[in-house]
Amino acid sequence: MILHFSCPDCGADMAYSIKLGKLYCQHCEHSEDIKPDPEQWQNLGGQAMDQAWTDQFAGPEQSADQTQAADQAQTADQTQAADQTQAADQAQAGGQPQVCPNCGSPIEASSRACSIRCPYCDSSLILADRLQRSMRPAMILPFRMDSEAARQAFLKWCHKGRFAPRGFAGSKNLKKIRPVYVPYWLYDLDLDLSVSGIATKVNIYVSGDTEYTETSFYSVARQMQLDYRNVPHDASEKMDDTVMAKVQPYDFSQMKEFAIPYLAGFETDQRDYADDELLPLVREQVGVYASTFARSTISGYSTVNIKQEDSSFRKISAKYVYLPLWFISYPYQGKEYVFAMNGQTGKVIGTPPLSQLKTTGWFALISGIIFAILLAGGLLL
Amino acid sequence: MIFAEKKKKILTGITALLLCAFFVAAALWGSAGDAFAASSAQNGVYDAAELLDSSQEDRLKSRLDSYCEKYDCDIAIVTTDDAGGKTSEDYADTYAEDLGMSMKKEDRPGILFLIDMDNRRMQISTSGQAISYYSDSRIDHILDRCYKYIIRDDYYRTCGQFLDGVRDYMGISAARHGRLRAIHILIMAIISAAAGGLIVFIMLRRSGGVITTSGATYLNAKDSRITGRSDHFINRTVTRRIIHRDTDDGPGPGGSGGGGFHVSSGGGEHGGGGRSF
Repeated sequence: MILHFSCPDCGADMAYSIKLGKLYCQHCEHSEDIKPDPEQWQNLGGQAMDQAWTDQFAGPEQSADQTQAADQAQTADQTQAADQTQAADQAQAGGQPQVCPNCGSPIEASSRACSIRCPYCDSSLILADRLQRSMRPAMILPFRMDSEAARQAFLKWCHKGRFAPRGFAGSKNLKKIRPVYVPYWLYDLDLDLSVSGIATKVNIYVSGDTEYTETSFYSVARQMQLDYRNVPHDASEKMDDTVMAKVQPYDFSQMKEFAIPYLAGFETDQRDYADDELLPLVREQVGVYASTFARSTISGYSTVNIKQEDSSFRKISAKYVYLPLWFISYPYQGKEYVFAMNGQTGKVIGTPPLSQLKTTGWFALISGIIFAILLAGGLLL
Repeated sequence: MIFAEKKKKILTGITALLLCAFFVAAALWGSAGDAFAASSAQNGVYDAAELLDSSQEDRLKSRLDSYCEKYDCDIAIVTTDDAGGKTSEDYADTYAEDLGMSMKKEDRPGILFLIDMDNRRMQISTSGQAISYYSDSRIDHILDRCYKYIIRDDYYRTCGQFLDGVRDYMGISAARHGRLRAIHILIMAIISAAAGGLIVFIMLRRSGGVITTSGATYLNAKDSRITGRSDHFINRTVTRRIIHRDTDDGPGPGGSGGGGFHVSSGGGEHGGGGRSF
């Protein structure tokens, strides 16, 4: 149930390297391409499966035989073990204490965690039984920024801050910077929309000593088909929805078919929500997008008054994905500041500390300028 | 390092304040105006019709004197029961000349306010440079304010409104709105503080990151299309409005740019206007 990846050359623990885009062994610098998950990882039975993993890379013949054998063994266990695994899952592994396959120490993981690092030997461990069937994401967007790039991007962001105190941007304070995959649902929504209303064109002209106001009334209507792709909503309860919305956009064209090795070395949780639970929120959001777009198609009028708006969703589908995020925690003057950074683009979200001096300085400057402008106006007019 | 940052911010604040101080100084300097020969006119309150009691007269006189000094001009307030057969305009012009106000429009500015109980008319007579300061619309504006009080027989406040008119416009070229007073500056300070506060507040809120996605981010333009549109004309309505042009109650041309003037029976050049009550 617990997967971990040992280097076929030296046996050390391997994790995903952001820079290389592969599994990487820090000790002997051996690297492996990410291959699609074998069938049994999507439908796991009994023991820890790092055997199956190393066999994959052993050699063509050998691996073929052994994988086949492993396959057969697995299928036999499957029907029996599958129910047991699920029961164990749901009972929060109460009966069977989980241990790290590398060092044997007990694992403490939250009930939702599916990818962790062993707190004793720092091995990257995947709780594969929590990535089964409906809990298995379809795609994953791998990190583009590695920890050094993330550090640099964060410091750059700090420097740009208009209100952050000067001392804030010192890199020595950067305490914890940890990479996390956040579960998201990506929705495709196709809708038909029709709007109708009354619009006016106003024309004002002066003839002699009379001012004429000419108002022409029009009945306007628009019908359209709108397709929205990859509308994201975070599926994790503990992640703040506003922060997750601000971290967008991601370039989804970089997403890859999900394979378990991508998670090696990153903290990841299972999703808390099913796609239908978040759907009302997403429909509302897309409804606003569609409404705004529809209004923009009625142009050339002085006023537009929409009296009726009808929409119906023709097709709705959703994909479960993991998106990359860097969490940065930064202690400053006794307080801990937490920031979230888009793991692909480097966009930083979070409230930095406020420098009283800078805030007052900006206030004095802006008020001063406005006052000077008003005064100049008063003197000249 | 921290001290250097402090210094920089204080410098910024001081620069902003200095900018404002500079403008205020410019304002005060601007309002000084040309210096004229010392006044030989007999300024004051001449209440022949006895519309004011002695304390009211004193208060008006002291305010009047301070304005004469501050704005370097001649001011008089006159009331009469008997215009001696003259029109209010003529009476006012002649009185001003008798008091010693300027005869020529380039000379020392002077302004006289007459309450003529005989003709039942208020009249303002301007002399010297005051002719150009007090355009017809400014005269109208002052008389409007006076009218409110004179119909209630409140002669003291009527005169007070006249002196307000002196304070607001004496020395200010007719192209401008009026004298910038301390209260105007206070209001400006309040507005700029409020605007500054609002702007800084908005900047702070945005400093933690903003939403940068919209419908356009997710709209698949390739597969979206407008399938129908209709714009049908229903009807047209036309409304009319007669443009109201201001009509002068007073004499003479001039409008809102620099007053026109007439020549009095005594040969002096005067401007001004009047209103019956």
